[in-house]
Amino acid sequence: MNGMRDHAIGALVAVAYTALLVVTAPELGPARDEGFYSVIGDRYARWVVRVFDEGAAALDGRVVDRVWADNSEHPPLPKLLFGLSASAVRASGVPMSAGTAHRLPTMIGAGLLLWIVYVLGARIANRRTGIFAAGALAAIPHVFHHAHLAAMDVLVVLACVATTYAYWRSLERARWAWVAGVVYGLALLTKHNAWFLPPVLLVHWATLRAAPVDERLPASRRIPWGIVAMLTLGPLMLIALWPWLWRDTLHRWMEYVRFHVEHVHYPIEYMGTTWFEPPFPAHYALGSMLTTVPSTLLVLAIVGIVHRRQQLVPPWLARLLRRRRDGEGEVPERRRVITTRLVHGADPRHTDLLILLSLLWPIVLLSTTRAPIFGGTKHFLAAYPFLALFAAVGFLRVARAFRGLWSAWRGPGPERFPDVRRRLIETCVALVLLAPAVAQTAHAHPYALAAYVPLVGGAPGGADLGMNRQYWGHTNADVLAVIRRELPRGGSVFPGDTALAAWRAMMLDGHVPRGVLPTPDLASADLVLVHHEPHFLTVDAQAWVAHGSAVPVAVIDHDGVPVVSVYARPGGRARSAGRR
Amino acid sequence: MLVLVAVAELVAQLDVIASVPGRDDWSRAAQWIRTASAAEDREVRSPVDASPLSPRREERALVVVEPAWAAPLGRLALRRVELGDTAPADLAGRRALWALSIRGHAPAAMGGRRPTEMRRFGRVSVLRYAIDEPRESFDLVREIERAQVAWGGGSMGWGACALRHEPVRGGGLAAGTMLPADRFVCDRSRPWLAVGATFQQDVGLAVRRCVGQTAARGIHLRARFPEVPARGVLEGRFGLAHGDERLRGADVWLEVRVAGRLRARVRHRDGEGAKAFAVELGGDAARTFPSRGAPLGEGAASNVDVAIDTALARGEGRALDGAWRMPCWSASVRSRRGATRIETR
Repeated sequence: MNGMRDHAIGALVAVAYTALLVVTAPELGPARDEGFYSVIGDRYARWVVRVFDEGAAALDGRVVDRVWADNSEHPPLPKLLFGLSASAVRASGVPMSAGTAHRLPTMIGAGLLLWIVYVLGARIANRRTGIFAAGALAAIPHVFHHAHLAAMDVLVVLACVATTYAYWRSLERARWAWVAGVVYGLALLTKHNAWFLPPVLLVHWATLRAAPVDERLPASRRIPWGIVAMLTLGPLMLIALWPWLWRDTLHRWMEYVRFHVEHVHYPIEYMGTTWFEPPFPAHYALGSMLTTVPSTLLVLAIVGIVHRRQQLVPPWLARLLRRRRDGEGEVPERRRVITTRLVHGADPRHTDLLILLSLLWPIVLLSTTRAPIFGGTKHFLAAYPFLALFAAVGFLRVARAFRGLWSAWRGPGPERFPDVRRRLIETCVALVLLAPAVAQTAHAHPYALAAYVPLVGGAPGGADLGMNRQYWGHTNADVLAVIRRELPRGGSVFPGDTALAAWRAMMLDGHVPRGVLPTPDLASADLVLVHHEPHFLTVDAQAWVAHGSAVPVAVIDHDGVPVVSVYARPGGRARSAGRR
Repeated sequence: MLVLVAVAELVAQLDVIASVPGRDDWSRAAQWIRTASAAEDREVRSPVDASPLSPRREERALVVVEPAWAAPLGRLALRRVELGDTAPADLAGRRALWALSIRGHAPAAMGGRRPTEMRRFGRVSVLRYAIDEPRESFDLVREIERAQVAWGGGSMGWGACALRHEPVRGGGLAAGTMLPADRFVCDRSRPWLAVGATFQQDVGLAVRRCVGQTAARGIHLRARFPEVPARGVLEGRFGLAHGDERLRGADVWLEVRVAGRLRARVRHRDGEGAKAFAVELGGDAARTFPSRGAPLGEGAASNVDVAIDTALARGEGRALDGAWRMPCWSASVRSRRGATRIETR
């Protein structure tokens, strides 16, 4: 019954967050890759419909290859979902733009992610933990940003967190192993990041195996069935559900692997340097996290980790350490107390350790390898749900302290409605602790990638530090107003870093006025957009040369930090063209 | 106390928002600079200015925006910025430096010096620095349209390149350095063989006003300035666009000839960034032809012929062994070496 109630609350959280994302989605212009994924997703979706209509003819090898060769460097599931979503919305007559319809699977996925985080929090501690963790995750500006996009990043986080949850449940109930296997298959069908998950879970399971017999899981669960299921069902599902791999499987599989092993690098600014290729700074992930995750949440997470330090060390390891130290001679009383504490409260599933490993692996991976960093925080977004869980533990600690303060202030004696008082205090504390994150996210949208925490001076502080402002040419919401103002009777626009596919998506949704067409020819365009990143100064300079002027007609900024400059061709159709 | 951390973060967030300079602050500051610098600016022309190549001396103030990331807002507020004043390589010939500044930033080129004047317009400050920079008597970038451009060399002989107004095409990151519509075109069948004043973003991502001049395999391209004041030093830099330089292509040569004599030969290898060159001109006065006037105040005037050649090194193409590359050079004649470098990012 309690489980059902948890899921009901989780579902409520999911629906609310999805609704919020849907409402705020139109303010966020389509990002570069979204344009490609939407077009390809539509193609995949049409093929699925064709399979139902035509049967075997659609399954012909050449037909399958023709459809699924597109963007075969990434697994198909997210794109297929985007296409099916758009198709379903279109068929249903729901008044929703095609762009939002393509994004709907990610937004629903982000809602589901909060649901799982809530349930995980509720299961490992209590509902307050779950609620706070979900709220904290939802209010991280970069999470909120990526949760809108028709891209793979939030969906793969969802799949990885769901797999981790199922694996954790499988340590208690073997039937969850099947769930872990299936969900992991979906994770592999979402993005290649999922391949890194089994080693992490194996490390966790190894700590369980290393425990003395009396502390181990029951004998029937000593085999990590969850991981076994993941490693068998997962790849099988990948091949079975990715039509591109149906023929010439090994060769195409190797191509897929090679693409990611030899992935090209795109430039990204970090700490005053534009990084074009590895080796990247080892502190990239940590530095990006410190400057973009609201500081209160980070501090709470640290408090949470410190508070749970006893549970983070496996009991057998704590005992081993104590034995070693005892063997060295006289053990100071303080150290003895600490190591003794570590052994108490043993959790046979080492849940805290699992959460810590899940938090760390995306960061460690990015910090120690040549993995691409061009997408900024999206590359280690999988750490954030677990960061939020530790932040929730920190919140509980603060709330408890406040309850103590209240009791001390009130003095001894009976109290009416103690539960109501406790909940009221906790709610107030939670609201205060979440307020900075909510305020930053609300203020940053739709320029979340340019936003930095107040600790470093906000967006201007981030710019001073030489941090990235954007990378996908998606910051066109306010540009559209300039275009409407400048080109009331139509004209041409050089779209800068906005891919033509993304521009077309804006046109289809009616965001771009009729008669305004994108052109790859900067010099002949009536308006030129420059999305500011240091290496894009080249395009800035091209506009100066082509127009004979370095003065833009409009600059879109976030908190005074230029995000997009708009130049008008002298003699062109833009209203400001002749004014300079 | 964590609740205090949260409250402090909220207050800091509000402070960040409240500290953002308004567009009106930018406009008022820019307006003040426009008025003040126009009053100060003076232009001194040589007494005899009949020749189109007659050297012209301009001592003008330069306006920069600090920090550099705010430059688009600064340019928007200034409304009029000459291309020659956008991203010069150094401060040679400048009498004063004005900075539109926010968040307490000061121009790095001033090395912590105190401004001679400072005014605040809301959240935007105007700083003025009096500077003692080498005087500039001839800017080859500014004069490029008056140069004689030719291509060929060796057994090929030399063919003239004509200054034309040709449409500019393309754009975007892959296009790299773009030449202007008014450019020298040497051979219709090889439209890439061209010369023109442009901007280039170098490997350090700094943008610099410069002359784009093709370096082609087996062909020399020459920009010749027949009447350059023969006093002081010809100083400059040349390099390739950052995207181009990362390709690890063939080396590029730049040669400086003064009165027909090779005076500097600089080889640029990819990854080196913009390379500097300097040629003392004083000793070349004897080999000059009579000047049409006294270009720089006191003393007898004499001009000299300066030519800048670019070429691609033979047989040394590496990853990308194309037929041509687009180096960009900037150079001017100044009274002495050591002008303060500025980097526009």
